[in-house]
Amino acid sequence: MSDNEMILLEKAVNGDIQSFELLIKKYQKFAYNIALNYLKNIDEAEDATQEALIKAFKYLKNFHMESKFSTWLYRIVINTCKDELRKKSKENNIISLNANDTYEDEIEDLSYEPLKTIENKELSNGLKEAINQLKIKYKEVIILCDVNDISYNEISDILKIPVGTVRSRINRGRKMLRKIINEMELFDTESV
Amino acid sequence: MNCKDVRKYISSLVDNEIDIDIKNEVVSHIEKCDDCKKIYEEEQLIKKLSSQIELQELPKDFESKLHNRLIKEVKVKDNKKIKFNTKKVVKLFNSNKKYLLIAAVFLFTVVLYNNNPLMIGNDYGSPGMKEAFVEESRGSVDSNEMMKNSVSATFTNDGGSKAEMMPESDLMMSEPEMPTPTVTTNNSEYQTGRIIIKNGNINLDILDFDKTVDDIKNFIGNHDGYVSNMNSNVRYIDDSGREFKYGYLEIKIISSSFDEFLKFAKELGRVNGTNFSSQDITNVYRDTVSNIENLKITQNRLRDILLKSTTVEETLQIERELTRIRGQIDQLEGNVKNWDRLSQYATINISLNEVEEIEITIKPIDTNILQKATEALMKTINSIRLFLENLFISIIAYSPFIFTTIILLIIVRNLYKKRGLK
Repeated sequence: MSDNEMILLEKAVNGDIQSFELLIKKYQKFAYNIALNYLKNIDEAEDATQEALIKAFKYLKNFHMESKFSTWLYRIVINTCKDELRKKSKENNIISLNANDTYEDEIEDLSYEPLKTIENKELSNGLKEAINQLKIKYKEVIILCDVNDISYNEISDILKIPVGTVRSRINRGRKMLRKIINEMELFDTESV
Repeated sequence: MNCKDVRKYISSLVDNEIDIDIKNEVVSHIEKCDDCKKIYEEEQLIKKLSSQIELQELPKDFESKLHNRLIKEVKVKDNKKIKFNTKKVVKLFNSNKKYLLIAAVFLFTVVLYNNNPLMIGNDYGSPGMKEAFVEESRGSVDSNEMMKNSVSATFTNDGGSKAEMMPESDLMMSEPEMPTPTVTTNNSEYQTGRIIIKNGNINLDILDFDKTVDDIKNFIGNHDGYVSNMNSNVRYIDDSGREFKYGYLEIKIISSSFDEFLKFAKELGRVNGTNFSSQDITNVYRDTVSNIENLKITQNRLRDILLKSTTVEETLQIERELTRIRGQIDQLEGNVKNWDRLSQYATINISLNEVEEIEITIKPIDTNILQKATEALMKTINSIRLFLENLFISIIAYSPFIFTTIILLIIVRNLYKKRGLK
């Protein structure tokens, strides 16, 4: 955390709204995107992000620098989203049961062709779709690790799961992604 | 390492989150095994592509919405703080209930014994007892002054004797003459940024109405004050034709001279009654100030938007909103200014009543604090001693009953046991 951020943090702890707004400016867009990945609905994601940021402001005095500020903030965002999902799944049990069970089983399958040329834009859109098909527990680690380039240790901190679990979930998540992508025939299928 | 083991680590390798030893093994395997290499390359590609996924932009009004919610949050927080403190006190009380109860019962018993001469009057009245007390204190305290104290403390134990009445009335008389401590605390609070509105009432009997009014005017003239309201009436005219007036003055004086003025006012005549109050408006004040700041931010934002607006309709709408916000700011700023003025000047109401002569009260010479404290301490120690002594005496006094009861109980128990055995 830079000195500047430290000063802002101190002011924000004492209830200064403007300092808090400056402090989170860097992170709020990403926080919103995290929420989008969980909730998939623009309005709900916005609501959840705001709620999480307000929670962060309210409990800022409980942040004792034991982790990065971003880690702490993202954890709040993710927990808020998960609470929201839990509420929702209580409301409509049946739908959510089916919605999440895509590609749970991993299949050892090497029959697909190697990847070659890539149209970046199209591909990353396809990839986004593919990531969205993953089960939430794989999706969250992949998003944090690949899209936002956060280290395993930090992910373990944010999600409160052991590093080993992060490692294995990323591994499985990628395996599923490869499978989905190859089924979507996103990559060029001509062999070398 | 076989392919299965290696594949566990491919992701970690892509992310470079792998121990150096394992890394070497995995890398050397990948170089040899085409299948594993394929997977490695694909995963690298996935990672690369993922990092290029564009983040969704925040909704347009995200920041302003958040800002408003944060403002609300701050207000709620302030309200909660006050509630929380009272809760804490109640909690503290609840958790220590037992000890408080025991302490209360003990104190109550001591006080009861001390103030109820009927119950233990016999022991009290005995002169031997009294002598013992005096002797005891003589043994422990040397100075003459202390001697006096011990004597008066002994008298106190007599209950209702005149000696006890004296110090109490002394206290009563000096009480209305010592509002200074309260005022000084207010002063120190003011220095640390608290905003306090002070008010005072004072009722005086004086010898010369007009002269007193002039005195007061002179004093406040020298202390940045002014008379904001005044009236006077003639109460009666005596045989010699002298008019006796009564009247009322409302003065404003700079807050820092508040207690100086009170001191001065008390010397003008006989004080019949005083009443002071101070109202702490720091919280409301701060809330209002932050509200104004926030409104100003919104105002600036609206101005920015106004510059960008293209259609007439838009411009009008934004201007309407601007006018509304400006109105709010003006109103709140008015409040703040009003509070500034009120806290800067204290209000004092003085009622004056002209009388023929003022009874000169002779102030009893104040015994110093240490003396009073020792007095009180002696009192307490004596009462505890007395309580314990009486307890001991009653145990001895009732001992025949107690012993007989115990013996009877033992006999009965033994009988039961024997019967049970048989």
